[in-house]
Amino acid sequence: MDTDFEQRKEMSLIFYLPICLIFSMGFLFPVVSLFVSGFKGFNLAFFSDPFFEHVVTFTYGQALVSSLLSVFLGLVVAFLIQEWKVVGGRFLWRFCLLCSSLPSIIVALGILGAWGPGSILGRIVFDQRTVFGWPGLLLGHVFLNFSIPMRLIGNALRERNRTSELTALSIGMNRWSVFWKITLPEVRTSVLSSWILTFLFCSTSLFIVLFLGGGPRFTTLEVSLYEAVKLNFDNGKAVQIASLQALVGIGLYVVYLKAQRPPRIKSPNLVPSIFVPRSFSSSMLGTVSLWVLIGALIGVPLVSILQDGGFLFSFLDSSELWSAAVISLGIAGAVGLIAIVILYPLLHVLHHSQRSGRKQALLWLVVLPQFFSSLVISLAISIFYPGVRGTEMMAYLGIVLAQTLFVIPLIQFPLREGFYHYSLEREWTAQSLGASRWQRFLHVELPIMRRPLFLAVLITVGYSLGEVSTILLFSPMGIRTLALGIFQSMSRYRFQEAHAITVILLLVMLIVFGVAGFLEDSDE
Amino acid sequence: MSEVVISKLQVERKSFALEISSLKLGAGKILGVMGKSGSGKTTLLHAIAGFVSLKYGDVDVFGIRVSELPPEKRKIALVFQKPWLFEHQTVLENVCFGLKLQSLSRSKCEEQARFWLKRMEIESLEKRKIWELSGGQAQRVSLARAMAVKFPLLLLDEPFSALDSPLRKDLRNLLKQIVQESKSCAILVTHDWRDIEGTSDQVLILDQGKELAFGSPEEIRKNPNSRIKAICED
Repeated sequence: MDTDFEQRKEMSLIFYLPICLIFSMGFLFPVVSLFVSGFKGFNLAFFSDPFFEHVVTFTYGQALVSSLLSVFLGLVVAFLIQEWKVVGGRFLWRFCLLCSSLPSIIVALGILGAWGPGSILGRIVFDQRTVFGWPGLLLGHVFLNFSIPMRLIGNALRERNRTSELTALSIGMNRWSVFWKITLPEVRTSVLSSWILTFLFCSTSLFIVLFLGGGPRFTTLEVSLYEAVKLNFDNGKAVQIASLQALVGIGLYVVYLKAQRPPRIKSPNLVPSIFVPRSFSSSMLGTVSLWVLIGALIGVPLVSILQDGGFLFSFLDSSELWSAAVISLGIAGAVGLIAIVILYPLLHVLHHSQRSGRKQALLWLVVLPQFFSSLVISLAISIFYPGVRGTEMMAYLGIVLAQTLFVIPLIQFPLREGFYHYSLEREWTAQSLGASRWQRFLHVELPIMRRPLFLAVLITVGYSLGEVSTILLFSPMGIRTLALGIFQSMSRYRFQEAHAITVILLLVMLIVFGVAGFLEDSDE
Repeated sequence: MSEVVISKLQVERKSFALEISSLKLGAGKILGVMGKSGSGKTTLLHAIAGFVSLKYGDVDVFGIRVSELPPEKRKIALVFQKPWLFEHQTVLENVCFGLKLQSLSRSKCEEQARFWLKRMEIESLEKRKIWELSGGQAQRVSLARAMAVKFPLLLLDEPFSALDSPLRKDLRNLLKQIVQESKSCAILVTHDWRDIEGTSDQVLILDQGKELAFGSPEEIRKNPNSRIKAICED
């Protein structure tokens, strides 16, 4: 006898098909082909070259230092906001999340403006030396990445069980010991997960190293890859570098999956924190330290971008600028539409599927592209489909495909959270009242998922507007987006023009991510 | 005449099997189902509603073999322990949900919904959002929503368990009255013998997926079997 479950199983193939098609054609086949090309052209002399050895050591060395610093800072900020209850903590939390979502090219420009040789602060702080090199790399990477540990650890701190800490305090442990022996072990999974992600993003960062690195000594694998593809047109070298990066990405992906725990149902934590400061002076010390820290790290670069906004008006009548804005939004819209159209049905079916093994495997698969840099995936696609760089239309297809693969891991979080609210019992209730599958979808599921869907669209638009690597790789000349405009202006040392475009992009992104943040907050 | 007939029902799940040889319920009657946790009470309701596959057996409701139909076509309303109201709708819209699916006009839906809200004594809440309701109010909205569609069979999975004593008593009386008036049937799963005494015409005691006893509340009460006594007094 067939029940709804059996009917669903027959239907589910239709839901799985689009995402399987996109992932196999756009990601798995190109990446496998990249590995095959890498092995075919394997050259030991290339890997044993002293400069390449330096590049590898420097790439992962700087990623290690940057990621450890980011995790430390993220832990401190998360602790101060969640436990110390600093004044304006909620605002700072949202502000940090919002600013770290900005494209790396904007962050590089902001840091150059704030701490570069031309700025007063730069001259005071760095004296004879400049921000280029280690200071620039660390500032850029921490700016962009410390909010990952801040968010993951902060959420773990908020949702942890505080009863054991109260018990420990009552049997005579001091607060410091409680923190080391109970609180920190409780959030160690989040610390590890956030470190893996941060290390990955720091090792594959391109524009921070390109604009703030300062010379060949500060070359990373990603920069070498960019130079091989765009400057030297050496595809053989590019494939070898990309294969190495992809292998490291897969390794980190495996460790990341091992570190994951099943998601917990969020519940309000009614037990008070034992770390809330007892005196007004300690409370104020925490507040001032946090505001100064965030102000210096994020506020100053942002202000430096906005203060050059006056130049904006001289570029407003440029038709090229407006066409770049239209192209940027067009690509973002297409990416958002495709990503949601292929991901939503999959999550819908997985939500209703009772096979947890299959569910987990597919969710792991959709996260995988996040562990590859956009340059690596774009290269893999362009090698597997050589025609993609042939015409403008094909280039658009390549850009949208590559960006869709990157956006899917990002938007699956809000959509999955939305589905947690759409419980099976609620659907059964509607069904028992006579609602057919479509009626349940239209009148129950869609209204519940409306907010997560809107959030997913905003995340997609935000990500896509700031994406440069895919456009750089697929489009030699024709397609000019806002983010690419910033890159080209900076490459030609036309910083006023870069600032003007940045201000437009920055304002759009602040609005997009601000609304997204508001939606997330109101959900909580 | 029996209006709900369950015959040779078998459900198999991973490490659990439910078997009901025969069960009959007349119009206007309520069947109470009791048993320890994991005895198969909820599985029985889900199997009747069509949310769990039957390995074997049939379910007939008012002469229609519903076990061959998908859940939405069975005309069996299900009420859970938690109200599971639709949070994007108001109280009135929640009660209208099932009525709208019956292609009634908007004014007719609202008229009927208001009637049921009044019977549940929550007519003043019709414009409220779901998160503004207390647990008891939400459960009454859930009952109103299920009763408004006037389906011949109503399945209730511990609907009173989260309510306080006076409200429980009121809702028990109301449920009995509505089922008798509408000549429909109801199956009530509960852990509380007072719910059975206050509503049910017949009682089914389940133990590890098997029928332990079936009869009127008085017959079950007088049964000397110690396991039955333990379940009833739990």
